[in-house]
Amino acid sequence: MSGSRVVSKVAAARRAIQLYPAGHPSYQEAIDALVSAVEEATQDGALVVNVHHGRLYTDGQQRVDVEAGSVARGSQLLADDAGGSARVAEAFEQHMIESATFQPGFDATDAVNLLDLLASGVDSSFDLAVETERRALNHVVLGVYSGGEEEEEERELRDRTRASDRAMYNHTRAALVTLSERLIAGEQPGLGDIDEGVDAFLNRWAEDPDAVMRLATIDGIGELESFHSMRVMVFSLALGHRLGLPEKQLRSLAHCALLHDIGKTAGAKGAGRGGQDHDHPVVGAQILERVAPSDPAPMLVAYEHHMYAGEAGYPQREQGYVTNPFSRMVMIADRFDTLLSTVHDGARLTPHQAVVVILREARVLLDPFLVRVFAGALTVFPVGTVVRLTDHSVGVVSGLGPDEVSPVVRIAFNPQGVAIDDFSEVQTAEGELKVVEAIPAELLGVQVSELL
Amino acid sequence: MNTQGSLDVTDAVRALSTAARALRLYPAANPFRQQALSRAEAALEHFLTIESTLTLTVGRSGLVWRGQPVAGVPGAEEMASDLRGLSVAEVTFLAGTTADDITNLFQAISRDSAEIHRMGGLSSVLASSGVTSIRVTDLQVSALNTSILSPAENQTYEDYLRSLASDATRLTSWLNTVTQVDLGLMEDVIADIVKLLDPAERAGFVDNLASAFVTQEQESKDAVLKLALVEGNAMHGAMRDAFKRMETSQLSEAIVGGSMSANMLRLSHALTVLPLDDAKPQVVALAHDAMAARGRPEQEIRFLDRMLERRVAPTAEEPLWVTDTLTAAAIGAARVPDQDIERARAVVVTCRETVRTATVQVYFSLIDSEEDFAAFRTSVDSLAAMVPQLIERGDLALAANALAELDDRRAHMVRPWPALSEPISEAIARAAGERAMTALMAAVIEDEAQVPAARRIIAVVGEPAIAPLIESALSVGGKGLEVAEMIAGVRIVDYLHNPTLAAPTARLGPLVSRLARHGDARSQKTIDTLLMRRNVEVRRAVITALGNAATDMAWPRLVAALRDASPEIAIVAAHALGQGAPPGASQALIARLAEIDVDGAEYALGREIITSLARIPGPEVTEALQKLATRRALIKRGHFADICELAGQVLAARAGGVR
Repeated sequence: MSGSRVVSKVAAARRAIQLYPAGHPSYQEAIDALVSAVEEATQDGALVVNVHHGRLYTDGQQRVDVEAGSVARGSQLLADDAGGSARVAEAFEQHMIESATFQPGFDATDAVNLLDLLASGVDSSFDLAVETERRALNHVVLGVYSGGEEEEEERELRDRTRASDRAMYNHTRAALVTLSERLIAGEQPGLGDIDEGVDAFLNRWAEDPDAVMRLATIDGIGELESFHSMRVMVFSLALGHRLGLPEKQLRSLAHCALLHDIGKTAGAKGAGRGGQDHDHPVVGAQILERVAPSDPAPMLVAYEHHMYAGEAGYPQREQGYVTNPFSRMVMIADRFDTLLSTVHDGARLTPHQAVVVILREARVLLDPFLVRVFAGALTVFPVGTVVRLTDHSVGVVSGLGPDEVSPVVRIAFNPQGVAIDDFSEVQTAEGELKVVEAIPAELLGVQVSELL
Repeated sequence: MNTQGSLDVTDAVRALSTAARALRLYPAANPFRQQALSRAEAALEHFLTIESTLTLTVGRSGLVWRGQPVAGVPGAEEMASDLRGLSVAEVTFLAGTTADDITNLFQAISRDSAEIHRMGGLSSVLASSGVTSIRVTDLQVSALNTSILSPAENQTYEDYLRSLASDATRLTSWLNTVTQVDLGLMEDVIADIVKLLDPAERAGFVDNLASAFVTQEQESKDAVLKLALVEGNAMHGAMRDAFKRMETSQLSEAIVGGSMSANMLRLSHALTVLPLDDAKPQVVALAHDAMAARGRPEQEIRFLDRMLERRVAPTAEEPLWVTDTLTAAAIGAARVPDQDIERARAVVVTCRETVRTATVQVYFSLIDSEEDFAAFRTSVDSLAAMVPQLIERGDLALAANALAELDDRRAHMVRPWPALSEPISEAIARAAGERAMTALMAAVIEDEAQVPAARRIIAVVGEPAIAPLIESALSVGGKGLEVAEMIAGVRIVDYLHNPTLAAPTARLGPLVSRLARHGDARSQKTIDTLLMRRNVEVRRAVITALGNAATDMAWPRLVAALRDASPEIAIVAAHALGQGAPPGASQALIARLAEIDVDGAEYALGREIITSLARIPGPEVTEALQKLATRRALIKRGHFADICELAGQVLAARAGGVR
């Protein structure tokens, strides 16, 4: 506990020099107490106190390589309430101190100089090395926090990649909206921009499937159902990839999914019928027979994507009519997305619940085998699921883990329920933290896509 | 944050935060930056159509709107921190805020705080940039009585602590100040007070603390509660006693009214960890009511209850797949063996081949159900356009079925539109155009088993298909016409005359042969027309074709060709007559042999006639050859000897030996 004692004395001494002038007995008392605590702690060697993510760790008498840059294995966490450790950690971080190594021989001059440094103002010109040298800290070695630039670079890279992915998403969605608008205007548009968008998604999937899945959390209202179609495309791609379809077929499947509701969005004037809900498969097929003649699959899927098993769904068909597998795949993705917007018990279904429900529905409405494959592709904790972990922290599934129950979770709220701005991801396969609950996002007032 | 207004403000702050990030990351011309700024402008515009202004207060832990923290917005806390660093208490956006205004705001925020202060604060900087739609209220630091944070001159620390502890007004003022300046100091001072006071004094202090707490602004209350959440520290203990002095309604309001209720996770943590002791059930009940009164949905409140229960559970929670049988069952169902997936892939890939069959069915569903004539025509045309694709893919049977079904509708469809059959007929004709027939020809040449399906296609399409079929047949040469006849029958001959007359020399052979085999008057006329052409190449091609045809109609024309002005053509004709040996051929050849100068200029023709005669039996041939072989002459000019020898050799061969 000598580490805790030193930290608590540093905190007390910081307060004392704030309250009392030098020479005041309470001031001197606090300095002496700190020196005494360090003397005791360094009897058998140096004491290293590290700060990491706002918390202090100590290695007792073990010598730790300050340059190691991270908390050494076996280090002890000082409790947040250990005599003001949180404030000491905060002061360390403010002054870019990653570690403080207290060495035998630490005296009152060192104590005063250290406290003076911790009390000094920090602005953009602050340089810990210069300040340390100026104050002649003889028995305390302060390690400069070196990870900032790297973290900043990582953050920038993350931001740029995210922005690039969103741009790809927006470009494709805009192409879909434009297509619908031009159809409504009675034009005969081509699919050039749609093709480009689909190719971009396929390429991105090859690089990072989780990044594409994260785009399926984007939601919006209006815009001719385009957000729904985009999600259905991503979910269909997940199923197609899980099945191991060749690229040409994946491309066709993506087109099918993206255009499956074109009869709903462009149906009002784009074809002979009005955009009534049950008519939209027929209207969509009519549109696609003109717009996408080179590949008949989108037309077929638009026509069949509401033909559920048996005689359920629409349009009506002869007994024994067999729908195409692509139609059944898009039907599953479509149904899954519909479930995600289904309000149950006052909140929308979580992706986790939607997987459970669609597996149940598979028995009567959908292709049971393909639904199982779909569930396997998404896992029971699909990307975008808000989950609570064993320690009560809450995050959003940002990627799939090595097994179906151990996703990668981007933490949004710490165990105390405080929102976290810093990027923090947990590989639930690797530590003790496990998913204990899936939570509807609106219960926490969060928009999932903004957290990913 | 569940009302529409809250959602809108969240959207606006999110857009502003994204714009701030984009300004930091991207250069001025970058489209991401422009896009983010435009979105921020649009989000504000949307919000300001609902509310007259958007005022964001800079709280300790983020931005606050109407007393509620704006939660769940990445970057909002950082924005608040930057504003706080510039001593900004509030930012108000007015209608008409533009992307340029937003840019000016964030560019000013990103500047060095000292520089901003030197320039008179953020409000001055914005004003000097011409920004009028964003107003900034500076923090009134001077209003804080910071002198209360340390002992007065000549006052001991202990006296100072006692003065705070014993004076409710002073403690209220100190709490108000210290919560805005230094929470660490607050914790330390409270700890020292608790240590210093005896039990009797402490009771008074706790009364004062409770009184001071309830009169604080919500943000100060939040700051106190934040420290009280840390079990073991002085504030936690002090507030345990202070809470006992408060009404449960005051306590509940303090907890629910501020940042502790930002979400149910945080509220459940606060209600679990704060030292509420016996008051807890009542406070929780009141919190329920308060949440409901604030429009929080039932499910959120149930989530609060669940979290309250979980946070005090004696044992660690098991993972969801252990506690929830539905989840466990879903995991089991989603485990599909790889070999099953491989089989499914094969099925999907195979079924992909049937897409076109299904598509044809869909087309007919559309055609049959269509009530609009224009849409009907579109569907018919689209189906017709698909036919060439089907034929190109070798799916002649499906193409034939599609056309047959279409034809059936032409004949039997009852619809209210006039001239229904016309668009169908036109579509069918288009379906069997040049592209389709070229593909048809190629498909049958590759696989004669396709002939029946090809015949069905031609049968449905009828006349419009023949001309393109012949064109494609001619383009492939060789077997083309034969295949075309296999598909379309002898009627193709009727369509050969014009193409024959127009055909280039290289294509004439098969056409003339086919006409010669047909041999009717029209064919004869066509061939005779060609034979009258001056072009030697044309005539030679026709004679060659006639020789190949070897029909009755060909022989007289071959005989006539023995006297063609071109010896090459006569040679071809002689060769053909020798090969075919029709009745009268020997006489014609012998007669022509007698006419020509076999030893001189027409040696080549003579030689060909002799060779051709060699293949024709009959005494007249032998006699003619013997005459040639036994000719006598004093002067043997030209090829005299060669002709005699050739004739002798031919006679020997006919006699069964070689001379």
